[in-house]
Amino acid sequence: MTAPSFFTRFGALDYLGGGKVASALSTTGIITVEPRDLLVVPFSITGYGGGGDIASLRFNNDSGNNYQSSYISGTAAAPPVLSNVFTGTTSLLRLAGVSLTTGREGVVILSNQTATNKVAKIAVFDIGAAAGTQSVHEIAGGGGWFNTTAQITSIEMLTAGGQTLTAGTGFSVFGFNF
Amino acid sequence: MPIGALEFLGSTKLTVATPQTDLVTVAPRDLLAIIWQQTSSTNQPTLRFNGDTTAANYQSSWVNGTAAAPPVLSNIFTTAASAIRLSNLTVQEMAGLAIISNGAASAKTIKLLCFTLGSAVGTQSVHELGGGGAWFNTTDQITDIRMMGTGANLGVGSGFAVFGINL
Repeated sequence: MTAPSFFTRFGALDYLGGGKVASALSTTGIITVEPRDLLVVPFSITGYGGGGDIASLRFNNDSGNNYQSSYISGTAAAPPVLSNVFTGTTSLLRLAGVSLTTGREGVVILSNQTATNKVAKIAVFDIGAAAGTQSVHEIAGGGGWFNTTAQITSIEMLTAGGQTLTAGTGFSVFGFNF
Repeated sequence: MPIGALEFLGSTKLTVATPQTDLVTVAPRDLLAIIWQQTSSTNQPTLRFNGDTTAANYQSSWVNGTAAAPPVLSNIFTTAASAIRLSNLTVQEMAGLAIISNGAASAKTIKLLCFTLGSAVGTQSVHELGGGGAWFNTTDQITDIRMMGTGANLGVGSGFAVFGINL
């Protein structure tokens, strides 16, 4: 998979892996990565099949309820109406706060040291359904994986609600040791 | 004009809990990007540039949102602090990104992105919606950087990496 140009210009960040789905699937499969102190994960969601959903990440194949996701969303109104979207005690890290069928684009900055919980700052934008149609604002968000015994060495993208990721959806993983 | 490559300029990480990291000396670049993390549950990470301890030279500005429905927003503005605050919380592990203008003749403007973890998997932290700050210096480029806490020790594993580019 070819890495996005912006991140290949982060000279000392190592490209660790990535992948995308060639057809509609509910998971990218598990991508194995070498451990690094810090990970940067740009992702691109082309859309969802079967209904609205939220692309998510799972680390080290841990499907236990060891994740949380926290977002503030804002409606396309004047002024925007804010909502607090918190998903605690869940089995994956949501990459956005709002379920929809259209695409989204973003990046995750992810701490990745063995003895501390993994913190994910997530910046994401949801595209509207058409050029003249505005989507919900994803104002701020992030989450974490509560694990203090292992570094992340594998990442899987999957949907939180079981719908499919449409073709071309995927992510890359870059890493760095401080 | 080609943008060129972001260069790795320096990094540091704590192996024992201390109030501050080592000083990281960096080659001057027009623009800096700093990726950072802080692992203590009782500290607020800050950055100090070029050893400047003058409180009047820094400001930090954040919007917070409570974990309520709807979230209640707060304006948090910090001056008279001798470093830029990477977060305005002091509660748990956090990670983020700082993008910093770094021309010699203009004040350094800093865009900050940060997420702070809840204290447990089912516990939500305060939202940090938008943030930034500045170092008011119009004579020098940033050539050294140190991460510091605001009282307690920074946790083991806290640190940052600096990348830069000439525009």
